[in-house]
Amino acid sequence: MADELTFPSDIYALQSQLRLHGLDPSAHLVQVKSRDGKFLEEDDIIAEMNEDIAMIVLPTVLYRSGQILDMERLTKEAHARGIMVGFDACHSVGVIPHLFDNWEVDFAFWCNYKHLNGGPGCVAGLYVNRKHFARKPGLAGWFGSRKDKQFDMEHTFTQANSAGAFQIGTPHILSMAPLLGSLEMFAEAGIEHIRKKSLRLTQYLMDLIQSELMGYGFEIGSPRHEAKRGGHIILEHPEAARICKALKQEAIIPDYREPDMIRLAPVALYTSFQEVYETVKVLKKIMDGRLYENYENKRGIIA
Amino acid sequence: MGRGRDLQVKNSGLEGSGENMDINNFMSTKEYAKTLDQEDPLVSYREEFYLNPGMIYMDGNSLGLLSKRAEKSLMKSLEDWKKYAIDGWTEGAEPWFYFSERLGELSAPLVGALADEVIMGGSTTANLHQLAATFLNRELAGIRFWRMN
Repeated sequence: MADELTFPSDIYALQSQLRLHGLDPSAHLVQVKSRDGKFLEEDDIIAEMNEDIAMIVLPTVLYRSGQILDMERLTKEAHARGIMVGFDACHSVGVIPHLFDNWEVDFAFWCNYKHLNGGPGCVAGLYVNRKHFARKPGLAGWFGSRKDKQFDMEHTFTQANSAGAFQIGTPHILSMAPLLGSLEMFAEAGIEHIRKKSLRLTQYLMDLIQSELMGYGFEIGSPRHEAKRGGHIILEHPEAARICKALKQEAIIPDYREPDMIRLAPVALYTSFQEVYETVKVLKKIMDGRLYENYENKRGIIA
Repeated sequence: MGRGRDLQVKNSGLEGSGENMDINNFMSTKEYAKTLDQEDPLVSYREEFYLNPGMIYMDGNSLGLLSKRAEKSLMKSLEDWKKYAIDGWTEGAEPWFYFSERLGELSAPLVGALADEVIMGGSTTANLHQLAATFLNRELAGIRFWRMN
């Protein structure tokens, strides 16, 4: 089971895994529906946890609206029904604290090039709860070996007694090396402080939008409630694609997401409140002068 | 407009700083933004990143910016390659044979895990494939969805 708002790549992966088992994804992958196309209700997810579900993969934070799912509650409900739970933490690692062990999450995975600043294509993260260390990796490779056995070169795989067992091939050293310096900063600054500032930044951004940009057809598509709000804000507008182009022309780098979303992420470690202020000021200028009309309302290859 | 301070994020350490910063006193002036920056306990980290002058980057949740420390640790691994060649796997600033485990250990506090429960490698989607291939099988799922088939 997954949800209908999640990042497409997760769905492609799950569909292909089902096909490898000879199962038809259209019948065997349940995607929980969103009531409004923006958010998910935990109650709706739990309602779908029936005896036919074997495994659930959900995002920690939705990549568009930025909604945080109640991971603890969902994990508890799934386990009560004998279902495995894993989370895609791409949009939450490095911006909100997690308690995977306390919540007894079974597994998780995430990328390190977003809030963790590991660089383009940086290697990703993988978490496996200790209680699953004895499980055989579905996809085994020599770097999953016990360190002292790896170079014995035996044809019998002796897996590491750690999450390391789930490694496959030789690690991409130069694509992970930047992480070392970056993670040091996170350890030093402390994730609780980072979260606190992130919430202040997103609250300030929403306050400014509310105060300066109403009457231009914008709608805030992210949770107002702090416990539900991740590290970015979605601003919806029918002209979103070309408003983003106008912002870029003004040296402000936003992100555009189909079909009509401007995604703004003020980042705790490097975005200032004055930059948030400038961003909203420029947005107002773009709307007042209808500067977006100089562009086509269509995204480029990426954004 | 929700201004609710429904969740108070725990503030431990960095004492004194940021305590006066109350966003409930919101004002839409530039001076207010300046005050918030002055009261920001994390403000010094901004200098550790490569920021393009005149550009405001609001896309850090797609691709985060390069920090000087990240650049330095990357250069260290390159130096180790230069200096140690094959022996870089077991020698040098950060021996590559244990690098994924080391980074896993450093990431563990960010996800609330024990050091050996986190490993770095692959890509997001490749890791999901690994996990689905590991957890989605007949033994684990019992008869569940194979019964549906």
